[in-house]
Amino acid sequence: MRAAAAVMWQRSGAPLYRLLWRPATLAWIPTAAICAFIPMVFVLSIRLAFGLPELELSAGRAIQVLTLVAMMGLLVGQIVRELQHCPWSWAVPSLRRRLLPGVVLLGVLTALFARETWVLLAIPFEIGSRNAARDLYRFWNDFPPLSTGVFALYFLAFTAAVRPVPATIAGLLTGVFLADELTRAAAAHQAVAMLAAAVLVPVLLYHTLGASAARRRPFLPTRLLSGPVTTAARAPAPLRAGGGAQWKLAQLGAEPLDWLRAGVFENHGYRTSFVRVGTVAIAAAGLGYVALQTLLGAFLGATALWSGIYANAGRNIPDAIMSLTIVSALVTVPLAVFLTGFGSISLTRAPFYPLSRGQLAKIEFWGSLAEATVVTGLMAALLTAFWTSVYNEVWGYVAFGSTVWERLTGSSTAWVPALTRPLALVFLIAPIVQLFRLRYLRAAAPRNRIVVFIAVVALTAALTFAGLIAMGWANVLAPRYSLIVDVPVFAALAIVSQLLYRRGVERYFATADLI
Amino acid sequence: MANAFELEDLTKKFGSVVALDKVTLAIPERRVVGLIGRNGSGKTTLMHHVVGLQLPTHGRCTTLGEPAATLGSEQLAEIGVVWQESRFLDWMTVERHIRYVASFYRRWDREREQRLLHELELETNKRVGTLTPGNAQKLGLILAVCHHPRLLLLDEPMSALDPISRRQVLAFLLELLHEDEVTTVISSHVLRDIEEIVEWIVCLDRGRVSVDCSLDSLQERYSEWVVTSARPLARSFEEPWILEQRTNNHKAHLMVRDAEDRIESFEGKYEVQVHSQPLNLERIFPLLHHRRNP
Repeated sequence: MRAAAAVMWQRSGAPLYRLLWRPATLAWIPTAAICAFIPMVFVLSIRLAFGLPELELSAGRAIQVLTLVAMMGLLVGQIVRELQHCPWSWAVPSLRRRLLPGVVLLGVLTALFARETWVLLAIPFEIGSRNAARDLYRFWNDFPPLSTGVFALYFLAFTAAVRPVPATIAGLLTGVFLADELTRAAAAHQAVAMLAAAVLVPVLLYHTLGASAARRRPFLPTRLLSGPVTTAARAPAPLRAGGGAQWKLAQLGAEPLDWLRAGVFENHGYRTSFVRVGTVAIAAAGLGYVALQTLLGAFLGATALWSGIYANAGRNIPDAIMSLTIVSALVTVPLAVFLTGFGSISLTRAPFYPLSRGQLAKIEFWGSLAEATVVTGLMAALLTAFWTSVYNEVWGYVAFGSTVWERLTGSSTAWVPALTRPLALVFLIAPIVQLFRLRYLRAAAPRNRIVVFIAVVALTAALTFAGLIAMGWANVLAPRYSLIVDVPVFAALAIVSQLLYRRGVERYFATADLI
Repeated sequence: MANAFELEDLTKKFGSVVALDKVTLAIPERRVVGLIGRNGSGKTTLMHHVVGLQLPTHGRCTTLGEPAATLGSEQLAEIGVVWQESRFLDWMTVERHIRYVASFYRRWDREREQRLLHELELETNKRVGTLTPGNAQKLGLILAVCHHPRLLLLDEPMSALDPISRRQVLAFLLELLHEDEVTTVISSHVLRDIEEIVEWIVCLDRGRVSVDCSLDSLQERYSEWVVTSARPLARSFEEPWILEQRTNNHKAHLMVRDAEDRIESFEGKYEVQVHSQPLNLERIFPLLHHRRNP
């Protein structure tokens, strides 16, 4: 009965079937939830705490909603390309025409969802002079079809992106720096905007679904074949060749750094690796900066709320939980853990090396440690830049009558522990996620990868929150000495974690099938 | 003679699927073995165990005197493998890829490499990712033999090659076996090809070793009888050693096993004339999987 229903469903030509009948599509749900949840938490908490609508209508809203749309577009684009790059799809007649309804439908749904998210987050306001925020708000409310169209266009732009990393960076930078102005200009010059959309939409659709563009290299082994999770786990190989360093058998095991170089060489090539690392760093820094600002606002709002709720009971607990450390860690730890956990320094699984299992374990461990170090360094730079740049800006919140900031910081150097504690947490948590990836994602069938990926997300979240609660209680129990105690304790825990990870990697390579 | 590798009561399970079932096998050094079997019989899994990429659920595997699980660089550098599904670094050129892999070996025969590149007509400036499956197999072969391995495992090494390339590869393998006296295990479904170079046959049937003997003895055991008679023949001959038969009035073709000394009695019993002729591996293979008389 179920089989017959499935056949009927397939034969009905339902457009969504072809796009969405795959486990990878499940990634759409948590992505949408995360993208929608973050701005909601921010806005609602500030609204409830301060009742200041002008804080919530700014370019920041556009960034968050546009990020949601971009993520949806990238996801659908990858699914489309997966279909286009499959050898069997070469002979499928009218593939473009058959995929078109699904893409358009998803684009419309995403645009409507994004617009509704925007409207939900905005409220009318009267105070303040003419500014971008007010124009934006009026634009979304007064011209629903046009504003929905802008979202749909953004969705299509990301669907059409051939190489996800540059497209992501370009789109996000557009969102960060130009979304406010672009949207305001679109509202002011609607005719031009509509004309531009009328030209751009077919062009983007053609490049999204165009058979000639997608099939130019039909036998190119694509990293997209296993869906977005694999794409996240394995960086696409660049077309340019790298340098020509040589390794000799005599060096095996003795020089782990040689193997790290080999891993970088394999996965990126030397010349392109710097560009790739640089672009990823910029993207991560941009995302991290926006997320930090968002969370800071959310926690300032929540602080006022929770302070009231817990006014008579356990006042120390909210104080501790709402420390700057937590704000920093909530962004940097998951970001760093993911960048570390799904890195690509390790050697390919192609078995043409004369490498023993012990040597493979050693390379895996040192590769992971190197990635954790690099990523943590990036996070340290991000946090330093963030806290030094927004310190004065954040003081603005205090002007609204809250003493939260003073209670949180205590002094202008409070960002130092806010920087060091999350970084220690990265070294503590990353090995656990890396081991989880090694044991389950590496060996998982493509069908199960999305399940493993979701499990990794949940594990990271759980471990991060557990670490934060531990930090909070440390503050409660020994507020004066927490800094003195924290550093050695976290350093010791990080070392133990790394040693256990090394043991786990060795055990894995000693007992697991490698192919 | 020492064994190149040994499998002792080796079982490999993937969940509930038994890929190898209590396999016991010993391949002496310098032996050239044809590993045959139907799809999914466990040939590739067996090779994975020999090089230590997969570990047994039960039993053990010893390669070049070391447990396969703990093979070190020294042993691995003496093994060459061509896998059925080649996995290379797609972004490198053929030349760069060869140089890259060569750098991991103490000895690398540039002369052999250049000769193979020339004979197999592999363009060195092409990117590996753009190679056809056949050319990728040629590259795999070059990477597997230029360090003069003691043990060479070839898993369907010619499945994607055209007939001319296949002849070239076979000729090279014959030369290699003569020069290096390398222990070779070659798995292929093109039995006519491997018949020319192997001396020993191991047949896997649903994870079990069903045949482990020399090719000569295999060809002695199985033969085809052409049975003729002046009178119309019976529709079928009921003998347990007859595996297959095709009867056509006055003439019958019988596939028989262990029946060389039965010709006279058969001729007397059925009043027929029997002409026995040998079978090649291609024709023996289906008989090895004959279910009625296992």
